[in-house]
Amino acid sequence: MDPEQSPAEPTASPDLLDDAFLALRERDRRLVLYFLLEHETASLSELADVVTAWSHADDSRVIEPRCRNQRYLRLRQVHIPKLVDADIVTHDEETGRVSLASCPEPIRELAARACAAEAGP
Amino acid sequence: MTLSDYFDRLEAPARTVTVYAPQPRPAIADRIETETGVDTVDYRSLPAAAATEEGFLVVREGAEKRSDEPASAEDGEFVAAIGLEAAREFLEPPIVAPWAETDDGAYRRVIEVFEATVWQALDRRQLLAISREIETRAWRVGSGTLRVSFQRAAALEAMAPVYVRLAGESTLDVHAYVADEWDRPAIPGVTIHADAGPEIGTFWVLAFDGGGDELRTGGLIARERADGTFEGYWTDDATLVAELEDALRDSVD
Repeated sequence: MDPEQSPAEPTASPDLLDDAFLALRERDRRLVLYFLLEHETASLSELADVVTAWSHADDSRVIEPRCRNQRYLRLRQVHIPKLVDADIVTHDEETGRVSLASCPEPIRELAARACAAEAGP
Repeated sequence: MTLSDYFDRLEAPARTVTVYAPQPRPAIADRIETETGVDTVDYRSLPAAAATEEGFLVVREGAEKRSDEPASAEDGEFVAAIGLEAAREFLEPPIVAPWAETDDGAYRRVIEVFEATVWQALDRRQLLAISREIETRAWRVGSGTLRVSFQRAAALEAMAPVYVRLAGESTLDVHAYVADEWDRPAIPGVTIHADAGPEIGTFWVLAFDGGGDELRTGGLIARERADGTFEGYWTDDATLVAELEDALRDSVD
């Protein structure tokens, strides 16, 4: 066992876990994190496309622009600011890019586990 | 304007399709690349932990290709998105009667996604599926004019029972155009324009005027290529459908 990763020594503070679970509490925020785990950074516009399409991938519906645009607004006004406040993502308002660069490792690990549990086979 | 003029003037908007799925890049991305007129087909991975059934595709329009980044992911306006399982169904579509109750077939929705895209290599089954979609719309509206062209009299004869029922159980006006002579019995309720000339023989055309409802119009035009596949295009746009009807009538000798 790696002595630095010993289970006896917690790797995440309670505050960090509060933030992580707040971030993961909503499905749209989870899908943002799953996609960013894979690509590290993406435009807010693409994240809106991905979150909308992914959440409907198995119901064979065609997603229309109106549905996607509502999701876009909700991401921009609610979900991304929450993730920014928790220091999980950064959002460059000028370029529209959202990045996972600042995300602490324990939150990445939780998000990866949630992805396997929620979206896995 | 003849059908050839109409077809040559078609301008498909610059579209990109991005396929999102866990690695490896799914085969459907290659099929969309070779069979449709979509300008760019990109692939963006989803996390490996995601199931392959979670894959989807996003259609965007007006993206400017930049050399350093995938165009679709960065630019362009969202047009539509659909799960990959449903998109696959369109490539092998089921053919159902216009009056069939199974109206939530996934392929119908995929037809909407790729509406107004010029396809490079449609096969007869796909064209039949699109035709059935337009005929189903006509059946539901129950009035208006449906125009259908046939390259050969035998092809119209084979479809006669469908059109007899469409015309007989609605107030639809059904016009069939045949490149050949028509020396067979009349089809009740169907006006046959026989010996309609070479333009009719070159194209597969269907046009429904919506019966006064602009939201129910539908048109399909496809040209057979040397290898037996078709270049084709379909649209719900009322103006484009009206122009297609005019072109069809103008093309009759």
